[in-house]
Amino acid sequence: MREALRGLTGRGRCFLYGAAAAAVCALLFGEKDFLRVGVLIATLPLLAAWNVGRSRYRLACSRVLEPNRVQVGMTARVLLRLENLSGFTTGTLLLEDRLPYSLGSRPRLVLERLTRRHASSVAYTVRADVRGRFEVGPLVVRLTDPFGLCELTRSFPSIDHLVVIPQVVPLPMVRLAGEYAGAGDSYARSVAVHGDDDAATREYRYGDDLRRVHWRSTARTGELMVRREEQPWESRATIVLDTRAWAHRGEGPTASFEWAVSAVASIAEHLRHAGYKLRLVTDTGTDLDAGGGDTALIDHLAEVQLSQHGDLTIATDQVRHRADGGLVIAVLGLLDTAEAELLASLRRNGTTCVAFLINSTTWLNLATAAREEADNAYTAAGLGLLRSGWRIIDVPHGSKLSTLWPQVGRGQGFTWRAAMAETVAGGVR
Amino acid sequence: MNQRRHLTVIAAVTTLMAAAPLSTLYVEWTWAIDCLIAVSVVCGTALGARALRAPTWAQPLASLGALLLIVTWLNPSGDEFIGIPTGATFAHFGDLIASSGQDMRNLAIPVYDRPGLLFLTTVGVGLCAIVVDFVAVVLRRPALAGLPMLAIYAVPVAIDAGSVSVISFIIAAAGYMWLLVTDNIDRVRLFGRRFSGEGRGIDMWEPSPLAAVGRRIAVIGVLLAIIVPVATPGLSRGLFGQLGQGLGNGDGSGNCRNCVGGTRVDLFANLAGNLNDDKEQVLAHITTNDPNPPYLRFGVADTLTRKGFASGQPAGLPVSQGLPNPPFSDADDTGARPVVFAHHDASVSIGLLDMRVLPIFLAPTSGSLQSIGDVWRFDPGTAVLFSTEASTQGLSYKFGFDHPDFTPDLLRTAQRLPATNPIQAGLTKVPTDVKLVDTIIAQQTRDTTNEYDTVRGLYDYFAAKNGFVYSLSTKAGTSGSDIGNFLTNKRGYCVQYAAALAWLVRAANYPARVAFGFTQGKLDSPGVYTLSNRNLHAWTEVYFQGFGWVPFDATPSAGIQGSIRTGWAPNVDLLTPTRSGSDGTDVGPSANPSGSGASGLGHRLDQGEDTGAGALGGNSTTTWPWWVLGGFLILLALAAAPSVARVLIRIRRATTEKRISSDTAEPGEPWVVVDDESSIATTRQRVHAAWDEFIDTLIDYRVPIDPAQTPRTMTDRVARSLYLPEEASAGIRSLGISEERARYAKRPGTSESTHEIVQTVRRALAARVSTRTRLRAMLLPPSVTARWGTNAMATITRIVARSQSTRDTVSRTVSIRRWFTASGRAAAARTR
Repeated sequence: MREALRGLTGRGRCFLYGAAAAAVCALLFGEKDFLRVGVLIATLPLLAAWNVGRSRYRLACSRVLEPNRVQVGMTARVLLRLENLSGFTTGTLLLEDRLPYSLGSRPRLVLERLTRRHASSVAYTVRADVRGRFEVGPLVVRLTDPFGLCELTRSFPSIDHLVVIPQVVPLPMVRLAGEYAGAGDSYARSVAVHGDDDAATREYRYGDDLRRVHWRSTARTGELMVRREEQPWESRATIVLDTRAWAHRGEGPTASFEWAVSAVASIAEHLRHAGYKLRLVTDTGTDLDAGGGDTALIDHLAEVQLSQHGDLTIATDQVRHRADGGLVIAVLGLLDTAEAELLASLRRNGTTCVAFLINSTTWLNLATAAREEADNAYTAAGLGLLRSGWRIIDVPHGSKLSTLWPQVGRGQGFTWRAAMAETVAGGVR
Repeated sequence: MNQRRHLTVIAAVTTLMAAAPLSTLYVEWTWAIDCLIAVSVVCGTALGARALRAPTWAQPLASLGALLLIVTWLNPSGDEFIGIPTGATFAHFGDLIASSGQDMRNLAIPVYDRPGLLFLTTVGVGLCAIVVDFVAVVLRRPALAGLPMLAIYAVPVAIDAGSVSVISFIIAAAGYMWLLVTDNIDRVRLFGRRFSGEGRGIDMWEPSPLAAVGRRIAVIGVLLAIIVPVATPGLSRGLFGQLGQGLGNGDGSGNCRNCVGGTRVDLFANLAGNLNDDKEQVLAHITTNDPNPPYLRFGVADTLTRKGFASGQPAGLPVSQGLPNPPFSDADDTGARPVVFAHHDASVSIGLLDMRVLPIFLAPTSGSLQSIGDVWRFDPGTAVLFSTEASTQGLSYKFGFDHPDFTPDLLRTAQRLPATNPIQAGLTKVPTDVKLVDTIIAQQTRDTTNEYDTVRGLYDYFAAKNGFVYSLSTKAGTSGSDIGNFLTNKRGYCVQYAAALAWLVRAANYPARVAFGFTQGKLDSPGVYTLSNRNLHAWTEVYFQGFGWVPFDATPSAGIQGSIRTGWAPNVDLLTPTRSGSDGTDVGPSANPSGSGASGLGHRLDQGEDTGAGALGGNSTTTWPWWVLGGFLILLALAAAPSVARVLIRIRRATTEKRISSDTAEPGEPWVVVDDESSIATTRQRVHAAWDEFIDTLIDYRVPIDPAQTPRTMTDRVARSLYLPEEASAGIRSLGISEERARYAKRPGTSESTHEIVQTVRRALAARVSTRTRLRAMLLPPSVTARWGTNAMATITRIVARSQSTRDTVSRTVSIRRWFTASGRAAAARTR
């Protein structure tokens, strides 16, 4: 009750003061009619407070996010489940779930009544336009009386997290140069010890293609054996994300950095499906390994931000530190020549290095002179990488990753030959 | 938008409800119709302005303009330009306001319709409607709407010295709270999507459970608001007025009917209330040089309706403008013979009398009134001194008066008033025919030719020799049927004597009225009379042309202290042997004014008037213990009903068992297996009855019951879990087996004494449970209450379902929308 009295709204307080004034008037003028008014408007807030405060509801609240990991621009469903554990029927509850504003406006619901020992579920959807990890909750419950004289606010401390991951686009299947480059758990070696034929065999299982039956082994073992065509070797890929603030242009969801993050996420997802073991390296020293069902990489991508003090040296050191070989895919912003040389040193025998070189100046509208200058710098950096054997994919503003992706698999194309020709020409001169 | 429209309409309706207290001020209901028109127009304009999306500031202005137009239409000056107010209109409004000011000074409430006052009321309520609408709908601060509503409420409170009627307060309060609830529910609706506990979404139109809670709180609040002031003592006058304790206010009932001044009050009720006071209270002292002063009078009831005599509305000029001279003292042109009269002076000092009227003699002389201010006005028609604001308390004043001595011969010369005379036209009407009246008039005025003889004949009729007895035990009232009863039963007191005589005189087509005042009082010292509440009295006055109003007191003088008789109206009982002494319990000795106990009884009225002052009467003081006792007994019966019902059920089951077992039992056999086809059914019935009783006993002692359990497992569980004594648990088990057999076996068998088993079990259970449970099982057995609750719910559900289906049927049959669509479809078909 005391708590409820503290919950009196301005209107409720005014009613009490007004009642006091009316009572004084009634006393001074001897008019019981004013006393009536006074008693009425004094009674209302007190009864309202009693009515609100009486309901010491024991409510339990649980929240389920479906799904709790959602791509940018998609919606997630939040399911609230309220349970009244007390023996009373609740009054009208005003529910408000606290959301960060980037998830949209706060959902507000009115629960008319909840009978005792009953539960009720209600769902709402949120739409995320920005990457990140967001807190959903706490749920704030407001109890109100019919006259608006008293209002109690209670909040449930439970908080859930909604992870908004970058947009993942499906990529066409392309045969990549660095496939099966890394050494996995050496199935190959065990095959060698067995002294079997070049093909490993296993028992026939229902559904196997009859054409794959390895007759020789079948004859020897007396059971149907088939050739194993699954390759025991692992594919490994290292993805380098350039997060240097200097290298990127544009702001908000359309910034070049967002394109880069989205590209990394898409590539990672694509490669993961293709059975690669992934490793993410950034210029802030992040070095993440991500296995088959692991979400650490994608969660990191949900939260990754531009770094002011990033340095590509750190990234190259990290990559070199644990040279797994295989495929290196770098999504890079603007580079100067020194950085291009630094990256060039990553290219060694046995590794395929692919660079998505984002021409981030195209995210801006530049004057012709500045444009030329920027293009020159971009070409120079690209050439620097090309010469060391990197495969360069030029990413101007507005390009789609799914259309660029096939270039990763293609051999050294015309660009490369042109660049080499230029190098040769330079050498001659 | 829809919500705002709703709120606009509710704001208008609540404004009208808040105007309900104004009904105290008016006799008729014209004001309410005017207000309804004005508020409807204001509301309609606001709706229109909002529909046209007028800017916020323009909405009240539009309403204001509409109010001006409608007020002009209601109060036209005749110079409007097609309803548009002109300068003349405003001049007319000015006149109306001025006249309303005059009315406020001159008239006492309740007033009849006066154009000025109606104008003021309409404009005031209309303005309030605009303010309420603006505050509640535009500013969304409905709590502030209470201020204009309070302003309306304050008007009758300030004008009326008494309490504003409870009903109008309830209406106004309900309106205000309705507005608050509507606004807040709107706020809650707008807060977010609504859904019920079942997770179902709720539409906009569906009612909110908040409204139900609001209604409950509102009812409690209003009840408290009515009860608390009534229960608060000593608030009748306030700190400003509490210097002297008033008359009749000590009862603490807060019912101010007795203290209200007589300008509007029912004087009959006032009289009854004062006379019923056990204490003798000195109301006034009068000093006069008249050796035999006439009755001092302060009120007149001259309006006769179906409900009886009532006071009219006094109107007059302030006393400083001078009093008119009595008609008999003027040398008039009617040629009436001069009346002998003596001029005297009198000074009155008021004691505890608390009214809005001052006692004065019938014929005060012009310009003689001294020592009272201009708040007092003199109504020349009724010769009543009244005020709309001041009270009589503590006043002293002097005046001169004429004490006429009409002689019968002189009065016989009075001519009948012409029919066009307002007195003749207004004061000779009787609303209904009353039995005996015509007979009495015919009998008493058979050979009279002039007014005096007629009146005298009727006056003489009330003598004791005709069987009239001054009596307390008469039902009061002055309506036609009450008069008829009095004339039949011939038992009554001063009010009825006076009213009956006035009625008869009127029926005989002469103007008459009832006057109120004091009898002569107790002579303290030479020339000084003390007037107490025992001296309050009512009598008849009859108009004689050229003489004015002449008093006739038909009440037997034995019943009244200080009663005096005059030459023209002598004591009729003295002419014959009096019978008044024979009824000693009814008529007190009038000769002993100081014996207040006995004489007080003698002149006590047991009933007030039709306004219900009888609650203070002597009869009710003796009947209330019976009421309390009766109420207590009813409460007791209600409280005992469940336990009695339980006992009845138990007896019925036991007798079922006995009746049947006496048929089938064979003595000496502890376990009977029934073979006989005919008795199988009865045995089953009997075992089921015992089982039902057992289950009810379990419910009563709050032993949990699982309906899914078989009789055997249930009895096992009960016996085990409650650690019942050996005998009882064996009994329970055998009961369970009996029930099992009765349910499922081809031939039910039973141990003989199921009834005794159940009794043993009950005793054993009672020993196991807590005292509280035992008491509850005895006084409020849960088995009975649960059964009643289930039945009640089922009945309610059935009624609701039936009414719902009826409503559906009706709305399906007479659906306007359906007609429209049907006609629309028909029209479409035709065009095709």
